[in-house]
Amino acid sequence: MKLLTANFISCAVKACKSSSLSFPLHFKDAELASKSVPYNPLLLSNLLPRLDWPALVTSSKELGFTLPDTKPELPRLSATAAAAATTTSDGDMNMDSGVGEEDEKTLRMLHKVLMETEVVEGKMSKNNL
Amino acid sequence: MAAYEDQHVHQVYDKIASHFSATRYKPWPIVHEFLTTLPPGSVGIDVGCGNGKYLNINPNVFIVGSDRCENLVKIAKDQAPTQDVATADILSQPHRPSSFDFALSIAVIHHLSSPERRVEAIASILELLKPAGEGKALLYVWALEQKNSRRGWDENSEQDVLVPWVLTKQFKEPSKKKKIGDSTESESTSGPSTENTETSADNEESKPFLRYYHLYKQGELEDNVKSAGGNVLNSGYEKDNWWAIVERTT
Repeated sequence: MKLLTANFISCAVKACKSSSLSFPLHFKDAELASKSVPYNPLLLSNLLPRLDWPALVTSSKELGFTLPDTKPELPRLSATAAAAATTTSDGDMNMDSGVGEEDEKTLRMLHKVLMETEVVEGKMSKNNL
Repeated sequence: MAAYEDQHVHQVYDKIASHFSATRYKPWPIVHEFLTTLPPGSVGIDVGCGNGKYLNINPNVFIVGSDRCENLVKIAKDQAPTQDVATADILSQPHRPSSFDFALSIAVIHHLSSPERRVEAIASILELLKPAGEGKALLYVWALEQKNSRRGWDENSEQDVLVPWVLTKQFKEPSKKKKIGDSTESESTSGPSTENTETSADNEESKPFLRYYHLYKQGELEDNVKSAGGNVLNSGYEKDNWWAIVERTT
């Protein structure tokens, strides 16, 4: 499971859904793997506003990543800007001209943490005791 | 009800997963359009994603697919490295309520075996969507009215049916192989209603797998959506199926 997915996973038990404990769930005995997938800044920059950042910070910490406490401010790339971008042989979207250096760094970091970090084994539970 | 579905839906899909997946690769046009017109960065769920054939249609959206059948989930996960997949039941989905821009549920709700469970399934999808105007779902179910299909059902046919699936030789488990010298070759009992991908060309087992379906009558899907507390934005008929694009009422 991707770390991104953890931001949309809650307890499956209906009676628990309204409880604040049901989200985010906490990782236990997580085994991680890095899985290379194409870099897509169009997806990432538009995904960012949809994330529950505090929950992501919590999940990341449990897996050994440190994210900034506040959600990074990034320009939302448009589909037309992306259409002008080239694609590398790895399937990465190359947007060098459209994104500043700092933003590009942030996007690459988000890509690595959200899209390429896979929890391959482990448990998720409502309390982190 | 749940036990019945376990026998006549879940166990069957687990057995036929590879063969079923090999016959499911063409995206349906309305599903394709629904997915490709979503804004970049949209986050959605594909409830009953099967082999994951809809997960890669639009690379600029993120989808968490789920299916009750673990063998199909494995196939989907391999097929869609940029998306994610989970094993989950439609009636208890491990997702955060009110958090998704879109949802798909293609050819799933018709596998639930009572009107109450079908309505509950739709309600469980609606509650995961963002409020009206922000989140929408596309639902597909098999139609009763399909006189011109090879099944030949029409509006007077029985709505609750068991539909056979016959595994062709290459997809059978080696352990199920017929013993040498066993000459009982029987024709499939599935009759004229067998889909052409479900041939009995080399039928080593006389019993096909039977999947339960509730075939939807015209208007029934829309009625179910209303009972589930949803609002129908658009609906129609495409190739032996009824479909509806729906949202929450609140």
